[in-house]
Amino acid sequence: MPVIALDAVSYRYPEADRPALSDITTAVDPGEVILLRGPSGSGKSTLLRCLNGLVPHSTGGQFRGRVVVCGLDTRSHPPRELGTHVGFVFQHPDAQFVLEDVEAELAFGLENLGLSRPLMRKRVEEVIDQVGINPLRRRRIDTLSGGERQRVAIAAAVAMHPDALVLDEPTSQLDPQAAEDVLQVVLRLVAELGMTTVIAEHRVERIAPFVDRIWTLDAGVLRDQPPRIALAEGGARPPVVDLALRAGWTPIPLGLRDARVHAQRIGFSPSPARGAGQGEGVRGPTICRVDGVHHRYDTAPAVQGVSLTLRRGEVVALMGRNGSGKTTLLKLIGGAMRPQRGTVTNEGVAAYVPQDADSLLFAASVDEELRGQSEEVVAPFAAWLHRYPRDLSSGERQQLAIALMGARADLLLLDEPTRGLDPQVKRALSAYLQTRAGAGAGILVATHDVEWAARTAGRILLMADGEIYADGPPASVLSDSLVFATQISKLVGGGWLLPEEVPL
Amino acid sequence: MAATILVHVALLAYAAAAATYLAWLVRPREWLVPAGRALLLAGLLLHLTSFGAAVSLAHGEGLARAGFGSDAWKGGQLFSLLAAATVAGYLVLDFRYGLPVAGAFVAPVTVAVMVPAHLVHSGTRAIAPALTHSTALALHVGSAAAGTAALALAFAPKTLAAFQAIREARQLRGQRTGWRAAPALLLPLLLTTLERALQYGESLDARGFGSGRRSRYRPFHWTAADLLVVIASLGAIVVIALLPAVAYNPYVDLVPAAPDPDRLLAVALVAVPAVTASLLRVDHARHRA
Repeated sequence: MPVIALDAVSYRYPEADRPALSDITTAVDPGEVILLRGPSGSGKSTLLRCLNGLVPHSTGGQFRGRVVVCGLDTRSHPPRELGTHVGFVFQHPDAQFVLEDVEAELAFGLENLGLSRPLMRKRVEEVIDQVGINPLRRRRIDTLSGGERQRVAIAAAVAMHPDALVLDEPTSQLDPQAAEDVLQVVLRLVAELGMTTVIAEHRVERIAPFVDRIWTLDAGVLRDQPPRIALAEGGARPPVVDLALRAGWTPIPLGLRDARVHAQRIGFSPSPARGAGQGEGVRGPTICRVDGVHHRYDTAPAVQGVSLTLRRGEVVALMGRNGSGKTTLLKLIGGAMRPQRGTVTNEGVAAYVPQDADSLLFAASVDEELRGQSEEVVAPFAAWLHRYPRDLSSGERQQLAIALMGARADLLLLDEPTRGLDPQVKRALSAYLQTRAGAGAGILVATHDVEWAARTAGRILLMADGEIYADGPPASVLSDSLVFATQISKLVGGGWLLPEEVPL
Repeated sequence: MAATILVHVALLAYAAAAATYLAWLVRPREWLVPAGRALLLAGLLLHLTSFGAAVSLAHGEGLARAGFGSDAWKGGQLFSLLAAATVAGYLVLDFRYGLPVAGAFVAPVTVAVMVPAHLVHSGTRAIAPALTHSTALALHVGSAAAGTAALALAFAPKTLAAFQAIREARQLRGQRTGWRAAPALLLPLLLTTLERALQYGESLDARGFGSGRRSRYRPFHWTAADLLVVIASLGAIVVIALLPAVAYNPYVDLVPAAPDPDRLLAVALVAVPAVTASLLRVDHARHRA
């Protein structure tokens, strides 16, 4: 018997003009691992919330069809009852904790099950080992980083011994290392415990080799396919799949390992190696000069003696691990903070767009947010004008915030703009930034997204410990890095970063 | 007199609204929410009418009597006015956004703030003036202060952080952030707070909270400190109850009276819980079986 069965499920949010899910029928058998993908706003979160009854119990709206979880119909059983069968991990690392310290949080679900104290203690110890969070057990939740929080959230869900684990883009708000740590945990649970898992995840390249099936959602319509067929058809997919499709490899590799084995077997090595001169930076007039800038917070230095020149017409990516000072540097350049030492000279209007775009939007409708903007800025959002900004998906909100902030600036400073975006929206963002740069704007983007940076930026800055330690075109900066390397660069080397540039 | 009766009826309506909302929390029947809302609205209208009646009955001392129809204790009127304003504010927000869960909080708090003050001004005062007066006063001020403190402790840090984020965002967008922009800041602040509350609720649901009888991972054991706090608190209530009643005087005396030993004792007893809490920092992580 399947753990989860959906039968002709359709759902419409209250006051929505079109259904969020239409006529979805599928099932998940015990031990299966399902990857859910789809563009921003395609209904991924809604579908996952159907699996533990939050839709429709917590949201209202019009629900048709049947979702049966472990024999329980979600229409007649409330989420709190289904919660003991389905472990749920939310997208935002800070929105899902109930108590103050890690151990209490792990035990919270077990307390709700009414387990005896010795049994709870045993389960808590087990899950601490399974997820590998022993060093965190006595920490307060508010002192944890995003990645640590997501691991605790997963542990708290797994401790209840649910029949299935549902994860709603658990890494979309994290940097690559933290995301990798979280995915490692998920993959270990899948491999060792045979946990039935449904995961929405945009890092398809990491997860695709381990899944049994891929669910692709588009405007509320679900396609349930084997991984190779789904990836070949399109949507979010690993760069090696793009390369394999171009080169006509069969079967399609699902991950880097597969691809490497295949490439070695057929002796694939693209030549000639890319010249270092390619991708050389633009030589426009200077828009911003940063000179010996220092800034320290109470506890630690954030930016230490950074000097830098940004030019009109160039898109620059600023990369580095969390806490390396990227955000502080953007704020200093954007004027949101003053440097304690050194100078920042801007030759134009700078706009800083923070990571959390939600807080930039506070009008009652998209129309009101866009009031006073030019036709050019408003046009792409014509379909959303009557919507409430906070009802948009996180990717849609991000787009709106960037358009609003970008409209009045000629030096655009973006902090992690691609976090949680689907490939289509990412490409649109690349095109937008390149158009703005072409029109004479200067653009500096702090990002962890190597593939996107390689595709979008003409110059890469690597930052660590408050200092910039590498500065140059993507081909030279990214190709010899182990951490900041694209999948294609890891596969074929030779300075090639993207699947479409590799000569066949 | 008319004003006093109106307040009595208003208070009854508030109490009924509180019961309705609390019933809705336990058993979410659709009709309970509009019923609670109607009762709150009825209570508010009567309450406001009582202010009007008091003002029209006695011109000079009107406001002093308003809301209670009594001239004894002016602090009571202030709380009464505050309660009416809270209910009015809630109803406006409820009408716009539909917030029945907040109703289950606002209605009982309104009752808790009004009842003790109300006791002071009802017939019971004539039977046992001093005892009722001071106990009710202590209860009244205590419940109002405890409610405010609980709210502040639970929401202030996160709300302030959210407020700061919204201010920064407005700065980034080149919009006003001064006091004049406060109304524009309040709506997003309220929405952010409500979104948090919803997420918190969903998270509780998803973790099976309320699905049955709970057990406890870290049982609380009575310690000497707990006992000390309870005895001191009870002692404070008894001492305050036995103190002779004094009229509430909102003005500071320029020449302070000589300290009264039994009042000093009451203050000392009230201070015990705070001092104990700050001296003995309880490490909950160690409270494990």
